[in-house]
Amino acid sequence: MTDQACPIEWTPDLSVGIEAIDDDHKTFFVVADLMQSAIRENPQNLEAILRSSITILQEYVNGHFLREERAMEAAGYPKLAEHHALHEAFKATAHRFVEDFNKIVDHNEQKKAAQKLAEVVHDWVCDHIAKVDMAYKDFLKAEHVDSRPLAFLSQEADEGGDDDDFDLMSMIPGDGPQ
Amino acid sequence: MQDKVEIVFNILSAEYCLVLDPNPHYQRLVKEILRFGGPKNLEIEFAVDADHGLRLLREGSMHFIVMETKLPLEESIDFLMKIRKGRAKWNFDISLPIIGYADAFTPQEIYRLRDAGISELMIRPLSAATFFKCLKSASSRKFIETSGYCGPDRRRRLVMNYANKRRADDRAAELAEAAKAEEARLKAEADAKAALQAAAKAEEEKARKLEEAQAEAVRKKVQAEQLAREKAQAEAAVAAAAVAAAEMARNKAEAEAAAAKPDPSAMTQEELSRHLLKQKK
Repeated sequence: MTDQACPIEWTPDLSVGIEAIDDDHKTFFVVADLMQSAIRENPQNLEAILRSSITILQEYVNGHFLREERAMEAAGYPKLAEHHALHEAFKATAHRFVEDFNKIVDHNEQKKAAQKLAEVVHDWVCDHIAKVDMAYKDFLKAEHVDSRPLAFLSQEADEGGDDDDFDLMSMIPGDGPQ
Repeated sequence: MQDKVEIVFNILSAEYCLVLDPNPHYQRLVKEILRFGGPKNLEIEFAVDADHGLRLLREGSMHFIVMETKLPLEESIDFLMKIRKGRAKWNFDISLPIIGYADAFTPQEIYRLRDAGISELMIRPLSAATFFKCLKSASSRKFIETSGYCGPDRRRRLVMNYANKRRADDRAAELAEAAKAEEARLKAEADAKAALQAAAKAEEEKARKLEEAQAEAVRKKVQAEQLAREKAQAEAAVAAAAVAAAEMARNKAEAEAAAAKPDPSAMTQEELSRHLLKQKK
């Protein structure tokens, strides 16, 4: 899909009629745009910004897919298996991109890879919403959808990860009684 | 499951947040994490340096702060200490969670930020999941205020053989807390006693008023009975007078009638005949 066919921002004609899912879709546009604008402006800490964007993008992809698939299951959507397969295929593609990005050390190559990932995400989201998600527009209702913020779904999609890995401050030595 | 309930309570109830980072790309990243990952209607204010941050905090209370900890580092530490030690100075909650991030930290930097009162630290790349875990952890941490340290409870690990040992700095805080609790207990006792006294006084007043009302009712009843009695007596006297007057009138009429009756012995023959004829008629 080209930029002409797909808007830079989410537009109301991409609405699937469910606020929580529309909000997720908007997030993908925003994060893809955030990556592209950082690449354009090329700030000093571009690599760190791109890595953060990619991490968040991965988390939100997992959370959003979980939200959609749970809703489809609750509604008894007949094309769930097909939809799930498309989600898995995209996750694999994104995962490959991220792995490749992590191996790159050259600054310009990193920019190119991140630009490509942002375009892939943007185009895939546009195409997926227009062709695949629209198929459930009249099938899924708001009551089928877990409307909690995306971070909660992302966390549940990532269940099994080490829950203490965030606790940087407990890792420093000498934190005993004074 | 309990874990998730806590997250919802702590994070989704937040309404205002300050993001302190001069980098617009990170401002936007943090905004997207918060907007799409956290509370739906969270209002986010952005500050580009410590002074700007303090100004925004003074203008409107925030529920938590997210900040770059290398503003540079000294500026970040100064910002943290001004907040944490400013109970007498600021009109906002100095114990609010403050989440910091940077590309990397040395152990020394972590110590300094921790002792300045940072709640949690994250290393970039930022992650929504890590961010919310930090916020959850920060929200549940007790706030300590002692002469040497103001900030979230720094104890994070279970230390073996810790029993019967305590942090020296905690002693003053514990004593202050105990004194505060005792003061609250005494005040509660005094309040309860005062409430009991007030209730007893009110009850007494109520009984007195009731008694007064009853006496007044009795007095009015007696008065009414007296009035009724007097009225009845007056009416009886009037009736007796009327009877006496009627009797007198009747007697008088009889006397007059008697006086008016002709004496046949004193009548002439002609008058007697007319009288008899009249009677006969």
